[in-house]
Amino acid sequence: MLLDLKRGIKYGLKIFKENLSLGFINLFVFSLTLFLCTAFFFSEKVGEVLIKNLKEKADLSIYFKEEVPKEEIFKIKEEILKIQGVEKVEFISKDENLEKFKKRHQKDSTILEALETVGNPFYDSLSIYVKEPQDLEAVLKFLETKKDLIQEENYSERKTTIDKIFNISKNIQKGLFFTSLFFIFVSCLIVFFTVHLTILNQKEEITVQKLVGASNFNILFPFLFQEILWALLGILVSVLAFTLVLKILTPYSTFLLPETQIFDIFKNNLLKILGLNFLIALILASFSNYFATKRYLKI
Amino acid sequence: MIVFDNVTKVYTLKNKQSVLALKNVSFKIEDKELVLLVGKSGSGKTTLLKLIFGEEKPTSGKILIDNQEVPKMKDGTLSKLRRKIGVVFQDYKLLSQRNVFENISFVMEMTGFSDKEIKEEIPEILEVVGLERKMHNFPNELSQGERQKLCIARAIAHRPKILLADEPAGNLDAENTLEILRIFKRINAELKTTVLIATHYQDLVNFFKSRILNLKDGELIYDGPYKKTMI
Repeated sequence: MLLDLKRGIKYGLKIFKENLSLGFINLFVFSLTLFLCTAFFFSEKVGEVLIKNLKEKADLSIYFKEEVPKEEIFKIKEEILKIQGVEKVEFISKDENLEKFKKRHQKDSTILEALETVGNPFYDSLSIYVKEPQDLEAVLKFLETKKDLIQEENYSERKTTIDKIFNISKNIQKGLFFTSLFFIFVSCLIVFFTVHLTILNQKEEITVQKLVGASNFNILFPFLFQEILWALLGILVSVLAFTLVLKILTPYSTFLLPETQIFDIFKNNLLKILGLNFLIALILASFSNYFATKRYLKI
Repeated sequence: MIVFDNVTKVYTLKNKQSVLALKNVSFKIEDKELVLLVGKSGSGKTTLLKLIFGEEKPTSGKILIDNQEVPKMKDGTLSKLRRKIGVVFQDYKLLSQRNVFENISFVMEMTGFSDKEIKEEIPEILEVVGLERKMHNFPNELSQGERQKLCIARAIAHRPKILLADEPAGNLDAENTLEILRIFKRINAELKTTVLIATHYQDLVNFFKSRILNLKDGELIYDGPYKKTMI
């Protein structure tokens, strides 16, 4: 078996060299398909990070009126914690809020000077973190009953934006999924026809090989091997092209993901992307090869 | 042992016309025998050989090799059977994209010869058929006679159990023909290979003076010892 494999590789390399022009069509198709699959997989990963970031931002901060005692606020905190979907509730005193604000604007002397004049304009607050954005609905319902104690809340206007981003992210993923599927199908057809053409060139050889006792493995493996070589080159081309596209896009992505570089997401998932590419390329090469050679093996 | 039991082969043409190639043919060839299959062109000799190595399937009847029914063999088993058979094809069936050495090495590789054995033995085989200087030539660079010799070299290289030759002297001159016939005789005598040679040359029949199967219009009209005038 090992000897058969070694000889199959030898003949695979020979076919690879003899059919370079057809192979380049293969390479183009493989690269394009794998590029799209990578884009789909990557968009999912970006989506995950985006959703994670959004979730963190989807918290609700409520600011209590000056006269509400801390004990009352802690009671409300306990009650909110009992609501389903609430992950964490954090109490931030008005002094802590002031410190945070000062820290954020430490370079802006005008704001700092203004603060010196007006004193502490902040209130005691509760930051509420939920598992899913929709869990906030129940919290908001509860807070309706405590309306008299609340100075302001910051969720209502943000909710619409968050919902929009969620929908856009989902639609992009859906679009990429169907585009990738379409391209995988088209690639299957093109790879099938290019393999078929390669095999048509070798039809007589295959017939003779069968007649002198070659097994299907002896005949198929060299074709499959050369196809895998093109697929590997396709992976290389698609990953390089994707890297280039990301390098170009990274500076423009900060509006979407200010805290994360999209290139880092790519780097962190590179092994998974390579694995996925290899799997898709292998399936594509095997199926196309099998169907293209099938009819010539029945001799 | 090769057994044909009441074998009929009918080809259906594209215009749905039927052509009878073999009709109720029955015979047995024992191991180590050398048999001549004679008959005029179109008598069914090539079809009979094709049926033995499974390139064609019979319309009816049984074909057995070593008690295994050839038409019922699965792909893998048929490949294994073909490795035990050396075939000298009338139209050579050489691998056009491989040189002389590779045409022979391909069969030897499939039958389990090591690279070392292949490197050592192919020059010897080519010397036997007189192609030692053409080792790196491609089939299209060879004359008809040389292609026939290459085909013979390929058929005998892996020391098959059965050797089938379809008009092996068709493109050879008298001197080369004699040389090739001697090789066949030696293979049969020394390696105990079963040899079946299809020919329409009386000279060949006279050279071997062996058992004869005579086909006429697809029917086996004679199965017996050598006779001086057969074709």
